[in-house]
Amino acid sequence: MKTKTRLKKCLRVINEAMVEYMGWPDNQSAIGKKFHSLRGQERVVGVFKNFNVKSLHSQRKPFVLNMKENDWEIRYFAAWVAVKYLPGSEKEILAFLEEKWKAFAPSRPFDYTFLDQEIDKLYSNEEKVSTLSGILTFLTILIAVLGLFGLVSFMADQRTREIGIRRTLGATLSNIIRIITGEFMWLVLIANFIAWPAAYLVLSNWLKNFAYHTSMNFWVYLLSGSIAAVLTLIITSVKAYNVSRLNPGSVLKYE
Amino acid sequence: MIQTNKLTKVFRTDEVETTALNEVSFGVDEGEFVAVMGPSGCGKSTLLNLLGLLDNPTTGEYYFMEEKVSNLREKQRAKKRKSNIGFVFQNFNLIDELTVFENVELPLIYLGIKGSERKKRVDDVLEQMGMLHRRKHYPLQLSGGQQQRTAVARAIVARPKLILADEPTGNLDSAHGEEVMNLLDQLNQNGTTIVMVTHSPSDAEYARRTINLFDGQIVTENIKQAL
Repeated sequence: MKTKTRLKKCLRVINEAMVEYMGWPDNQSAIGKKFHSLRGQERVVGVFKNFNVKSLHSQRKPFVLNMKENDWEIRYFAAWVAVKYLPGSEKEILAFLEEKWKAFAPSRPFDYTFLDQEIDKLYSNEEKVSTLSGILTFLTILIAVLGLFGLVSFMADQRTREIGIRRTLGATLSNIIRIITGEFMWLVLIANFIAWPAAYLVLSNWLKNFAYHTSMNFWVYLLSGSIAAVLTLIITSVKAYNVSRLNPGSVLKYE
Repeated sequence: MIQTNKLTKVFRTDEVETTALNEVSFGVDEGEFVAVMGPSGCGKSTLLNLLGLLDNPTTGEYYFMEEKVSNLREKQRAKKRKSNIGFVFQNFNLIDELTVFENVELPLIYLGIKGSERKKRVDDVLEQMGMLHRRKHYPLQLSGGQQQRTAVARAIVARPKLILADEPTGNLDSAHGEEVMNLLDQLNQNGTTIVMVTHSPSDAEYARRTINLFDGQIVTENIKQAL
């Protein structure tokens, strides 16, 4: 009789990870099974699908839900009650819930949080990293573009005489632009081949912090490389165009 | 071949206005060798730039091969320039990063001539200039005379009707200078028209006619009498 009562008190619903952890062959066979915990012997009365109990940083682990059958048990053990409500009526809902809570558990203070805010808190670090990396990416691109513009300007100035000679010999504007941009496009290509493995290593290390994470697609690298190539093309073309427009006579005259 | 009518070139900056050429009118016939002389700053190089379609005049008219070219846009000037005019500069203006062969090949590339034909023509002209054995050398590995012979090879490889030479012996010793002048003389005897700017009276001796410029104007014109 004692055992029966105890069993009745210790009904458990477990998740699929727990079924696997216990080494039971499937969910169906787990029902009715007994296991020992610090509270004594427990009996499985149901199995539910796995869900994330904690943040996505950690794996879905074995999980046991403690089922309470009696009113007094519920009143005694319940610390939190989850309520789903329609959006836009928080004030009325809170007032209603407070009233109900005071009637349900008069010895406990009424406290509440919102689930979406709690979930947000789990990822606040990632939010900060996201904002910070956005700013840093912008600054990096800005510095790279300024550096590229400086380098292109320097090289174009160094090659003003050569451009003048080529123009004198009949090179068209597009010939000149092709020569200057061609050289820089090679540099961009080499830079990308160095940057891609480095970015892959850093990103895959970072993603390892998450039990569940996105996969890295090749097109992301291709896209970033293409953006760099387009920026280079625009900057070099503008500079090459400006130098090419100089009168070849005036460029060579004062040598 | 060349006819100018009141050709004027004015250079303007924010504060200064300089008239480099002032209503210059003269003509050059096909096959002529003309020297342009005068003190520094008299407008010789400006005249050569205008004749070479490297720049447009401020006012006046320029007829090249019986076509008015004084107001052409740069693209049209480049087209005329690359197929009709060869340039020889005082400081050679070779591209240091390219070999002798590649330097001489440039005008043919811009004319759109095919690779095999280019190779043949470049080798021919380098042989003519006695530079074939140096085809793989870079300009900085050559003497001044060799550099100028390369520049002359580049000027004639596209078989231009007109060669414009700006002080072609200015950076050379007398032996190399004479060598280059003999080359130009030979080209002229083969029918190429040459207009040469020079300070050197001995170089001007090679020309059949000498035009003297002073303060942007033609002051005298001497025609060499046949011996």
